[in-house]
Amino acid sequence: MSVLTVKEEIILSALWMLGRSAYGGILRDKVVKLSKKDIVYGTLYNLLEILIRKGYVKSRKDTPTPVQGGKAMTIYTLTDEGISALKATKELHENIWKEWPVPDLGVSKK
Amino acid sequence: MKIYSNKKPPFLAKQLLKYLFRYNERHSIVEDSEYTYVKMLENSGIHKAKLWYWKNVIRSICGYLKLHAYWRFIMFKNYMKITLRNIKRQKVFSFINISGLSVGIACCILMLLWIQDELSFDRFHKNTNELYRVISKIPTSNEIIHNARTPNAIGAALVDQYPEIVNYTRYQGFEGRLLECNGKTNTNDIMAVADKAFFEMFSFELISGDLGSCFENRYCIVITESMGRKYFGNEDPMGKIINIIPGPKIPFTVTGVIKDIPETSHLQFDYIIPFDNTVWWDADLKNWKITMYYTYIQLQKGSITEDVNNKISSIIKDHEKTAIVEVYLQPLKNIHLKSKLAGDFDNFKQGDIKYIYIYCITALCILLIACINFMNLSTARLNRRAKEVGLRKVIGAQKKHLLSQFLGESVFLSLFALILALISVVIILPTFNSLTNKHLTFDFSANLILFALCIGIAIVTGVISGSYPAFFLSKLQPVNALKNFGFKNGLTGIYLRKILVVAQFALSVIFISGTIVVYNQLDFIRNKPLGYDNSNIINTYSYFRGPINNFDVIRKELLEYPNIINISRAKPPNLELFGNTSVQWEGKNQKVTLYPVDVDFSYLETFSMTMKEGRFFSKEYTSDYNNYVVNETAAEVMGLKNPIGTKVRYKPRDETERTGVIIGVIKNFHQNSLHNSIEPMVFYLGNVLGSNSVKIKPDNIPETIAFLEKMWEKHVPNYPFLYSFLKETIDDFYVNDRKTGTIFSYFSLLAIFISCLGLFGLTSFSTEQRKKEIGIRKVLGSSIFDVTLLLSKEFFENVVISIIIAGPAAWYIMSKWLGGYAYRIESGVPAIILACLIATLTAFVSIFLQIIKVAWANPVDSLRTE
Repeated sequence: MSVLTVKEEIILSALWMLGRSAYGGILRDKVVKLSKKDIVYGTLYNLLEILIRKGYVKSRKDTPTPVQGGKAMTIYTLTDEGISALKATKELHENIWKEWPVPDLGVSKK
Repeated sequence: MKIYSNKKPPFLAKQLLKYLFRYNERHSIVEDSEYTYVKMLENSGIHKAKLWYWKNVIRSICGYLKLHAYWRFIMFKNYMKITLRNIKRQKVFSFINISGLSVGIACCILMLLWIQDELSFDRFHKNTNELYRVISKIPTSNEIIHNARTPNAIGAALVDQYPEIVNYTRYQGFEGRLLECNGKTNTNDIMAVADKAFFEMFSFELISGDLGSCFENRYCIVITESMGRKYFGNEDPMGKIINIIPGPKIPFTVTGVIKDIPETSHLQFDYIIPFDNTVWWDADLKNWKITMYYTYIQLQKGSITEDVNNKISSIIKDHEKTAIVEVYLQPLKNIHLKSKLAGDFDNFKQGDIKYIYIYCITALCILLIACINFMNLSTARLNRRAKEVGLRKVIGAQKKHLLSQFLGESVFLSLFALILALISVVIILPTFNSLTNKHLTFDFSANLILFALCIGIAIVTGVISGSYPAFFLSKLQPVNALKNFGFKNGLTGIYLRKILVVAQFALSVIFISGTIVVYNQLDFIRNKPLGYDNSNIINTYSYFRGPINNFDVIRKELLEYPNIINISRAKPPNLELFGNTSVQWEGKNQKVTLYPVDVDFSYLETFSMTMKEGRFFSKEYTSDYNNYVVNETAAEVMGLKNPIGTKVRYKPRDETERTGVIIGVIKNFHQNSLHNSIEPMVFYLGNVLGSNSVKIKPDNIPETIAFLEKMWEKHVPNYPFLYSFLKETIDDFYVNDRKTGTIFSYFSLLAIFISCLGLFGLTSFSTEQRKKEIGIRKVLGSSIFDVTLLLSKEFFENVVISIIIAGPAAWYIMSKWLGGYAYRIESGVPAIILACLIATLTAFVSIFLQIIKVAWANPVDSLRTE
């Protein structure tokens, strides 16, 4: 059972929400919004490293902006294994939280 | 809303991020952080943005380092394991390596201690940087003589005339003065005289008494702590009376006690009295012609020595029109090591900066030899690590990882060697102290610099020694390494090894030849004919300035004793001479320094000297009281072709002027030590007041001494009977040289030891390599002799090259050293040849057994593959 830690879960989820791939900066913004806590790039990258090693995320360098001194930023992409891991985790959570009362006030999907 | 013209994140933080967060290959932290920073600028303002950015930088880097350190630690454990395993597996090589390095590092540490001590002389005074000694520069016909003594009145004049000079003191030391205290008499204490300013200028700490009162009148005496203990036990010495007996007994009151003078001071004394007391023996303190005392001055802070020197150089001429002597200042710090001056007797334990360089270089050479060993042996064993390197590279190690692994290994070995070296230094230190006549302590708590230097030496040694193997190994291609083609049959680095062995050997040869030359020179000095006979002569001392009454009567009594051959009260040949320029003679056309010596009628016979021309003083000629005898050098220097009959006029101090003629030329003999050349001496009959030299028969010496003592007590009742043998006194001049010789020989031993260790290791490796080759050769028909010859050929090649390099180098170094002696052996060539032979022999012995072992081996065993 490929279960993710909470932080990993947040990151993968954020990545999914952003359309399966994103720049590091955008990713971080989303993670901060989701978790409502600040996260530093160092921590983020450490976690991404672990995820990359596990095969859930792929990273590649984007083409540099056509400006002199343009930066080549890395793009992180969610892989299929990552998606299945997310699915498994979601199922696990659903199992755990089955009995928990959920408030039914407009939960907007985003 | 503020317009942010500069949307760049804080520069310092960005740079830190760029260089310390090493994931940059994969993650673009710098760019991402900048993106967020810009967003924060817009959303929350510049302060929050900057704060966030710094937080980002610091936390990211910390997190990275933590992770990094963790992995580093894991690798470190692995490296340690491998290193220890290697050491255990190759015990012999590791032992050779580590012991060689330990010896080298121990030598360096001992040298450091010694050099530190030597360089710290006279630094403990508060005013060290402003204290100077005044030196006289005396031009003579052939050279300029630098004399550490200056005219008596110069100190006061300097302070008066030049505002930069704020204080002065005169100083003089005396040994063997008689003092009496509480009924005990003694002459062992060293006396000094100085002005009151002495205590202001120098920092000899007063335990009791104070600066103002310690020299308040002429009869004050300040003693050292240990002297106080010697005479007064635990009582307070202040106020007690000590009698000094220069003639009549004079009571001095103790007005101060100073702490014992540290070893690292060139001024050493047991008690000190005010300078005014010198009137006993020297009534003329205003004389500008005679240089007798040392003058120390204190410059104003911030004065430039050069400028002051230029101003004061002609001060003697200002006061004494006929003087030709100039002066200049010698910094206090230079006195111990850089003081090659005449008349510098009160410079205790004087060292020579030459020796510091020599010992420094020597120690470094030994360390170098050890490093060469290390490099050699490691290079030879590269084979064994090839597979490991290949595997590591396959798994993913990079060149820099491998480099750090191997360098770390050699630094580790080096640190281990350091520990052993520290232990050996602690053990050897007492012997070293007795050899160098010091009291060095190996105390890290007081000497942090030493500690840092030790560690530094070890690390540098490790890095240097391990560099070549490390670089080589890290360059290996994994495939080749794993397939065992990494090293072509163990011939890698063979040229480097050759060079290193040759260098090592050459260094050893230089060391040995150095030792041999030093010993030869010492031998030569010891046995060189001095021009007089100093055997069986006893010198006694009387330190009062007054003729012994009825000496003629005493003399007759002494001569009646069968064992006594002759007595002379003249200045014996072991004492140093004082030169001056006031001797006048017919035809003198330039100022020349001559050395007048006062003698008596029996001088020539007592010391068995010989005349070259003319005759010596004799009682038959009453005019001889005004006549002179010169030595050969004097005749030359005075420019006299026929010296006999030349009129000479001279006024010795405290005596009448005498005008007479030269009646004879005495054959040159060596006054004082062979370090000095023969000075031009002018002899005259004076009121000889110095020591007695008694020439005795070599038999029954104890009896003779007992008789002399009895006679002494009878005629000179207040003074203890002190005597010494002239030959021993003269031998003592060369104590330092002998010590140098001993130290050098130890160094040579060490150098040869390490070199042989190295050779041993290398040979065992190469013979092991060639086992199969030898086996095949034997099978094909070589005899044992042929094989031995083959194996030795390489060795002899190295030897020959080493000798070619070492020979000229050794000769050059030796000539430089010998140049410091006025009288020396011809050349070092025989010594160098001998050294080469010795080195070759020892080296050969160390490898001989191995060669023989391999040559004798049964080819079956060698060729068998398991």
